Amino acid sequence: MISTTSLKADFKMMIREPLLILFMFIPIFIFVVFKLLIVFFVPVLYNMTGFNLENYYGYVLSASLLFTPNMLGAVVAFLMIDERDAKIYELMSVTPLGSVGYICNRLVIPFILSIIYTFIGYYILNIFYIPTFTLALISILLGIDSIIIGLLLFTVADDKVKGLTYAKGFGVFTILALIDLLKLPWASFLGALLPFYWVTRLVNDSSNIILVLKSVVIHGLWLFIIINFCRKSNTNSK
Amino acid sequence: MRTIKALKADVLFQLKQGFYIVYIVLILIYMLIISQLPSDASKIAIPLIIFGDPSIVGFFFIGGIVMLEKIQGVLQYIVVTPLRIREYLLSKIISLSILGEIAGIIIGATTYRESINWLLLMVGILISSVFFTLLGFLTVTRSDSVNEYFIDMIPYMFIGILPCFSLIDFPYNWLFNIFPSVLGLRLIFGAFYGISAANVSFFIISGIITNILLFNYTENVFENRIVYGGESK
Repeated sequence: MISTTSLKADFKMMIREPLLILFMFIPIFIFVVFKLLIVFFVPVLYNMTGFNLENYYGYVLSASLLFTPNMLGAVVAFLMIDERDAKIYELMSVTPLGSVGYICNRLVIPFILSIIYTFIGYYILNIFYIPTFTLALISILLGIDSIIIGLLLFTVADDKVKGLTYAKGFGVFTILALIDLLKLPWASFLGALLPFYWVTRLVNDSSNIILVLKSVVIHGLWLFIIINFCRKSNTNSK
Repeated sequence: MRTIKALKADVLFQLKQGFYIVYIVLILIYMLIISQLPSDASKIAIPLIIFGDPSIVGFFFIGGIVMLEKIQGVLQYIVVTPLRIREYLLSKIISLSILGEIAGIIIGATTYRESINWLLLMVGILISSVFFTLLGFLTVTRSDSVNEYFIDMIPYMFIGILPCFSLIDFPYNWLFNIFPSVLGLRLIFGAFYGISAANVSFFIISGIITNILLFNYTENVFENRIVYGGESK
């Protein structure tokens, strides 16, 4: 009950805060930009260089879908870092909601929005076929990715500057998600250790049941590790 | 002397915050990607990567640095220390430019097979880096949180990045040469592909003049909005 009330308050805050509304609409803007580039730039690129990007549309779709959880996860992490600096986090930890409840409520927002934006992005881009069941699964995995990014950034960054440093470093995750393009087995192995890589694999090979299972297991493992890491770091800081 | 001491402290702070470690990781990733590109593509990609990442690094980080110092009260104390605002800004700009220079040089040295005009490359990175860090200072004067900083960055990013498309030939594209980002990018490309001495002189002089004017403007805005919180001195 307490958690629901707090979540409602968070949603109200989001609606009243123009800055957060703006962030929530940025993914749509990004999808439209990707679509415009595909419509206008791909034929030009083909005419100029003979390179056909259509063969890589699975990767283009994956990169654009991964943008949403990465961005929303980071936005919520910075919101929490700001609130930690303003001592709001400390305040929340002594309320009935508790610090865990506070973090959960904050992370529900990017999780839900990542799921919604996966469908919106898929239909706006409309460049690569994915069966509905797999798309639904990908949307949930992307939601989990947003939680992983948000929680990881919030836990490892002691302050805003470290947050920015790590956020920059996290850019590597998107590159590693597309690492199969390099056709280097050792690099693909490295990428496979991260959950983001499996989203790209699922987009490109949506009917492979083993792949579905591997993706779910890797995401579950990462979520488990990150939650425990956050708990431990919370306990140590008390 | 005061600037050198502040510079030393800033570089140490950046080391502690992991800026250099992040760049080691990013450089390795860039090396990996560039090594897999066809040589024609890599010749275009390397200058673009050097401009698109190390030259712009100050724009990304300066917001967090200033906001952190604001929370810690460092900025309010500056007025009672011998360090002047001008020296404070200069120290931040130089320290972030050093990071950009090191990253840019390593990317160039490890990925490009042919000869590079290193001096030109360093000047190109410096002109862009100073410009983007100053834009970052102007952005952070309006922001109270990192998320706000990201949003406020957008118009300044357009000012810095969009004119760079003037490198594609179209009528009157030379008009965009007033932007230090364009001048920096032209010099960086010049370091790889060659450039006339007349153009080098013009681009460097224009870049220095524009950056000095922007620096003076930034100093005034920063002093009024951040140090004195919008109140008169």
